[in-house]
Formats: sequence, C-alpha cells, structure tokens
Amino acid sequence: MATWKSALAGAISEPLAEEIDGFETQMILRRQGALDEAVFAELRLRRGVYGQRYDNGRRHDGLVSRSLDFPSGETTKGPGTYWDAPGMMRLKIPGGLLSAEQLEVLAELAEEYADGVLHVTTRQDIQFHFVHIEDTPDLMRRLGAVGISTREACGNSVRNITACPISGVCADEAFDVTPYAQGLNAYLLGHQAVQDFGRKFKISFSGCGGSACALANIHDIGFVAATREVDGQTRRGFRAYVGGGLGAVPHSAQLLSEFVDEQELLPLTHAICLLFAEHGEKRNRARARLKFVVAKFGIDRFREMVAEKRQTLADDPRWSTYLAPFVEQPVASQAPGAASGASRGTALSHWQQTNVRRQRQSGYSTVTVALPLGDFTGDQSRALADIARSYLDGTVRLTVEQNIVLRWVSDADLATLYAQLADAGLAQPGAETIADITSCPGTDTCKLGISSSRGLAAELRSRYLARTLDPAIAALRVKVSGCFNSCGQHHIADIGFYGVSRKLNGYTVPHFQLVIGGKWAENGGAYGLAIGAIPSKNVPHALSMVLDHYATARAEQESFHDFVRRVGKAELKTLIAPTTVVPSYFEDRSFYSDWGDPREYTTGDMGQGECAGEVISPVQFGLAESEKEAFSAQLALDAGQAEQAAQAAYRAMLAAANALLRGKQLIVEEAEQIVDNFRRLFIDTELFFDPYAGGKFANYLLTAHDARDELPSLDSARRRVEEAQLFIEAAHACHGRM
Amino acid sequence: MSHLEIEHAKRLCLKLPIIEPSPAASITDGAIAVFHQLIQRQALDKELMIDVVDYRHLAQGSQVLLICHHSHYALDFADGVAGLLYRDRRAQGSLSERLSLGLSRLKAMAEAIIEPLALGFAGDRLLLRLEDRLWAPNRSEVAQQAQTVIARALEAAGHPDSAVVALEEDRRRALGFSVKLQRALIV
Ligand code: SF4
Repeated sequence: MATWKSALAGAISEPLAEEIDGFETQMILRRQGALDEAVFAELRLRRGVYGQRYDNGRRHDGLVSRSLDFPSGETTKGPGTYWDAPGMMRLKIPGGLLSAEQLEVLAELAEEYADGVLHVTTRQDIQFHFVHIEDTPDLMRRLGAVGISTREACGNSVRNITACPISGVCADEAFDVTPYAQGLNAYLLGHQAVQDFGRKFKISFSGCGGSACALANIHDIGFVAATREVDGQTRRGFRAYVGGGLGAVPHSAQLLSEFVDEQELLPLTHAICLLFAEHGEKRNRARARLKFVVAKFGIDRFREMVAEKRQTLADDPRWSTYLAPFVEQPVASQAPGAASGASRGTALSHWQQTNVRRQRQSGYSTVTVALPLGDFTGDQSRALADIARSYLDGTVRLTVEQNIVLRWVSDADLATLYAQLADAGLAQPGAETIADITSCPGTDTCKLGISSSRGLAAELRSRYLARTLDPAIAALRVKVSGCFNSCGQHHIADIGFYGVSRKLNGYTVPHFQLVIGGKWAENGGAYGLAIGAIPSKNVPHALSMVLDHYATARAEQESFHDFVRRVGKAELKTLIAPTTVVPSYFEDRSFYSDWGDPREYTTGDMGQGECAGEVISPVQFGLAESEKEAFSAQLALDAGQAEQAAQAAYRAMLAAANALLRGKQLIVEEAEQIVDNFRRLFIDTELFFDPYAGGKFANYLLTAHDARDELPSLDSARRRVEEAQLFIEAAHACHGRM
Repeated sequence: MSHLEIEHAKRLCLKLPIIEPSPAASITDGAIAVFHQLIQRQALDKELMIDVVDYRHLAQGSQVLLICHHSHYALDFADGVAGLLYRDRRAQGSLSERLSLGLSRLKAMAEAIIEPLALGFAGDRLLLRLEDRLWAPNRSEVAQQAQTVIARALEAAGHPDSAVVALEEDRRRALGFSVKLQRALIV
C-alpha cells in the first residue's frame, strides 16, 4: 500500500521524518485515550495544528443551536475540541519567502486537504482551513519534502519570524535582513531554549526605522537594521527593541540596545529566550508575554539581565556560520519582455500606479499582488510559480498586509507580467491603499471571533475599489479584527475596527469599535484607541463620514494621524454618533445579521421584541455612563494628562461594574462597596468571566482599584484606558449572558 | 500504476456545469443564503453539514462552499466553467462505490438548489478529478488507465457507455476527465 511516508522517504530530513512519525503516534495514543487531551492539544499546536470555530461540536444555524454529531463521537483533540471537527493548519514561512516549487506543493495541499484556498496571515505566513487532523501528518511530510516546517507555527513558542518583503531591493534599507531572519529561524526552530514558554513569542526584522514593513514596535523582539563604523570598517548590526505587542492591551516596544553586532544577534536572542522561559508567567496567560517581564523588571534591569545571561552561554559556531555563505540577492537575468499585445490600457496604468514600485537596482521593480482578504487559490498559486520562474529569481514573498510581492521584475516585463497576472485573476489594483484591507479570520473560522471581520473587509474593499479617491484618502490603511485580540492589527492602522456585540432589547447586534490614532509608518509607530461602537451594517457609512470630514477639513499636507490629533477624538465621536443608533428589529432586520452571513446574529439570546418601543434597562444606562467616562479618559490621555486619564479609566470601570450590580437590584455608591460586591457577585461566581479569557478583564478593575492612589506614567495610563475599554466590553458581554 | 492501484485514489471531485443563468456569477450572492438554509432545514440526507464559506472576493475557483464532514460542495468557477462542485473528503470504499455515492450526493445537492437559485445544469456532462497525487498522479499513462477504471466505475454506478476523456492540461493539476453520460444526472 503506497503512502506518502514511503513515497517521500529520503526526501525529508531524518529528524523531521521522526518528528512527524512521533506526532502520528501521539495521535494514535490520543484516540486510544492514552494521552491527556490538554497535553495533546499543546503538542499539536506546536506542530501547527490549530482549532477552528465550531470544533466544540455546536453551531447556531440562525434558528437554533445544533450539535454537530461527528462520527468519532466523544473523541477529542483538546479540551472541548472534537476529533473530527475541521481545523486550521498553519505553516512557518520565515520572512514570507516561498520558492516556485513550494508554491506548487502548497497548491496541491490546499486542494487535497483544505478547501482549495491558501490564506496569507498577518505574520507573512500561510494557513489552510477545514483540514481534518488525520490528514495533517501527510500534509507535514509533503511540506517537509520542499523544506517547509509547521513546527512551532502555533502554541507557546517562537512564531513565524517576519522580515521586510522588499529587503535587498529597497532604497531605504541599511542592508538586506533576509539572511538574518532565515538564520535566526533555523537556529531557534526546535531549540531547547524555546520549549518552556508560557506564551507565544514574536520576532521581526526591519531594514529601516521609517517604514512599516516588519513592525518592530509590536514585537517581543524587533530588530531594525543599522550599520556602524568600527576601526574604519562598516559593521552590520541591529537596533534591538523588546517587549512590544498588540493583543487586547498593546504595548510599545522599548529600546534594548542601540547596536547589536550581527555576530551577537543569535546569542542575544538566545539569552532573551532563556530569560523569558525563566521569568515569564506560566499560569496566567493574560500576563504571560515578554512585555510583562520587561515591565516587571524595567528596561534598565532587563538589559542588565540579558547581558548577564548572554555571558553564561557557551560559544556556538552556529552564531556566525550562517553568515558566511550569504551573498546579496543576485539579480536574475531577465530577457526584456515584449510588451506587444499585453497592454490593457488604463487598467494597466492604474495597476502600475498602485502596485508597482521601483527597486533600488535600476531597471527593476517590485510588484505587489493584492490578494483579496489574503486569499488565493491552488490554480493561482501555480500561476505565481510560473511567474516566479519566468520573470523573477524563482521566489516570491508574502507580506504582513496579506499580499504577495514579486521582486526583480524587469521594467521591460511589466506589461506582459500584468497580462499574465490578469489571466490568473491576480492583477487587482489598489495594493497598499484603503481598498487593500487587512483582516483576521474573525467569525469565519476563529473561535474567538465576535463580528465578521472578513465580511466587513470584503464589503469595504469592494466599495473603495469601485471609487476614484482623493490620494490622501487612498493612502490610508484600514485593518479589521474580529475581536479585541488585534490579529488584524487594528491598533496600528489609520483606521481600525474590532468586533464587539451589543445587546439591545433582547437582541444581540454585531458591532465594531472604531479605532483611530494609530500609525502604520515608523514600524507601527503609534497605537490607536477605540472611540465608539458602531453597528456592523453602519460601519461603511461611519467610515465615509470620517473620510469626508478628513477630505474637507484637513490642512494642507496634513496626515490623517495629525488630523485626528488636531480635531480631537471628541469631534469625530460626535460626527459618527448618528451611525451608532440601531433601528429596532422590526424596522430593519438587516442590522441583526453580520456582513456576508445572513444568519440572525446570536439568535440563541433572543427574546420577544417590544414593538411599541425600545426598553432601556438600568444596566444599559449604566454601561452608557461608563463609556462616557472611558472616552473622557481618552481625551485626557490625548492631552498628555496621565493622572486624569487613569482616574477616568478607573471611574469608567467602576461605572460598568456598578451597572451590572444594578442588574442584580443592588444599589451602591462607594467605590469600595462597588468593588466588594462586584467581587462577590461577579468574580467569585465567575459570572463576569469570559469563556476564553477567564477572569482577565475582571482583574483590570481590581488592579485599577488597588492602584487608584498611585501616580501613573503616560504609558501605564494608556494601558489603563485600554483596559477600561475592554472591561466595558466584558460588562456588555456579561450583561448579554445575564 | 495498475488499475487496481487507481481504485485506491481518494478525494473524487465531480462538477456539474451550470448553463443558466449565464454568466453564473449573478447567483453567488443568493447562494450564501440558500446554503445556510440547507443547514437550517438539514436538507441533505446523511451529510453532517458544518458551515458555509464565502470566497466571493476571489476571481477564480470556488466562490461559495458548503462544508460537510464527508464532502465539500461549492459553486465553483475554476477551469473557466461555472458549476456545482462536489468534493469527496472522507468517503470510504472502492472507487465505484465512492463514485456512485458522489453522483447521488451531487444530484441531491443540485436538486436542492436548482429552484431557489433558478439554475439550469448541463445534466449529462461532468468534470471529474481525482485529487490524489499519491494514487493518481497526473501522468499520461496513469490517465489512460484511469480512463478505463472510471468508465467501469460509472457503469457500476448505473451509467454505462459514458464517454470519459482525459483532460490535456497542466500536469501539476489533479488528474482530470471530462465525462459525457448517456443518461443525464439531472434534467
Ligand atoms: S482578532 Fe480575535 S477574531 Fe481575529 S483571529 Fe484574533 S482572536 Fe480571532
């Protein structure tokens, strides 16, 4: 009987083959019940085998919540995760670099084991959806045969290492960071130092500090290329930042070192990984990222600890051997292409304006293939493989904006390349414009999704692709996450959205928080804050209002970021206020389902509506009050008033907690009483607990209460403001459950 | 690769071309709602229906999918042909048994959506693929043998004298055939 294991024997390295065999054995043990489900869950995550929405065996079909009775019955692949439920498979593509051969194999795998689609993630990675766990060992073998690993693609480990997709051809870079990203990936993959983390760990490489390509600011470690003259010689190295991260409450990375020589890159990272394993939180996931270790010790002490740890490491030849064979990206020899018959007139020139950039090397350009929502099909992957072989150096790069970059395109080939892309349905214009929207999977496949980020992104994309836009508006970045976790990177977009829900008169309505003030440039240079929840179906209208206001009221050359700072969030909040109103269920039912999904949204929570008018409960009034306080906290923060901001954020949480107490017919006023009663009725009972995040949000109130007399820094005030917003969202969710 | 080995090929795909409306792109919006309704009504016998997937933003390939445990169904625009696609994911048995099962499932799905989406099918034509590059690699000698195996399997599934022609195309794609049935699957 032929198997992929036998067919590929010899094509996969022996250690990898053994690892995959081992995983197959773990699968057998799990099916026999001989391996604990929680242990198996972490083991499979570390092999890139992830869960997916509805894998708990239940789905609401819009009318009723149904159980999905999978044939394997009660067998699970993790706590509350059924064996047969379709899952997600994530790969590791360091720096997003893929060869033509790899693109072809990915096409095969998407067709044979998934739903025919390859999805580019915001970590320059590929994931497949709707994969059965029993297909995963063969999938891994076939990937392994072309040099792709799924190891540590998920789970508490070093995730895919990202790097500028135009590194090596960019005019602004210090040097090409590609080999460093690849080298560090090879060094850390499966390394003992990264096996005992309490949480994921993300590393990026940027070629310069000005652009956003690799987003150093939002990483556990962000390396930015730099050079230094030493003894008359130019040395390569990196400015190193640590402790950044998005997630529910984003942290900006802090400068660890002005210059880490290239020879020190691997040992320094090794030392940081050891410190993270030693000092990182292991039990409380909410505080387990490196940013909390840095915050706990302070950056100065942390820097000392890294230096001390570095001294304990024994020399390892691998720290420098990976550098030796590296030569700068060779220029592929290109036969100048004949443009005849390939010209498609205005479409071509529009595409050239938005999707083509000059390389540093004259006569060559980079081309961005704008993938809608980061998706492409198996056939398109093969078409890209052909293009990589015919026009490029045999490779392509994935980007954190869920696109594909083609490098080394001879300018003479642009027209014929365009024609070939168009034939494959890959020549959509608008790359890196407002129409090129980044989105996380959201409610389509993510278990934590609250609103349909992909549905909204698709809707906005089609609207903005169809319009001729003011260049200042066209250049804006819009990013959407299905929940507060920020996988869609909404915090660093010019305009971000994240999914929330609101319960109104017995019906649950999908909403998105509008996030503004973020900065995509400067490696994710500033984080935006939420200014108000808008019902999903009104988001396009609200966005138009904000953009129209910017178009008409901006000062000359004023960026959107500066415009927001100048006019203030209060003005923008007032502007969008009319769009926050939800018509009653009987007036307009479309508001009660999400984009691209006609099912009534969370109808399991529905009661009978009141035709005569909306009934606002005291809880809703109280929550509205808390949102007002949270917003005043933001305004104080914008004005640089850290203490006022932190106090207002604390009051906002108290108001939200008090609103819930009112729902329990309890009327109290003093902060101490509110906190005590909230603890008794909502924390001890776990009523406030989030199904996935547990007591994380409740702790925000307790921490703020304990720290109410402390003088906060601007940074900690900002975090408190973020926490207040999340606490209020959790209060809304809790109210929905009550 | 022998006849016997090709019998092992898994992941059979069948596509029934849509001839109305033309172009078929106009039906994809409606298909989302219709597929969700199929789940609500539990309209497909012996299928564990899981979810509906929206890929209408893609210029090619499957546009709207109904994901079931054993199979995927899709309104598919690959190959320049709009059609209803059935992809066997976890069916067991010989190729003829799985082909027979696939034809009946494809027919049931076609019947379920023909009215709500006001569709017309080319009921006697099929595009058939074996998405299994282990047991059915896309090579000319395998295609020749598979042609005979598929014709036999179709006969066993109640479709004798079907014309099965291997597709001459990119060898990286899954082995594909065009099939002309003597008796239309759906009218
Ligand atoms: S942001 Fe939320 S919905 Fe989106 S992928 Fe992350 S956890 Fe899921």
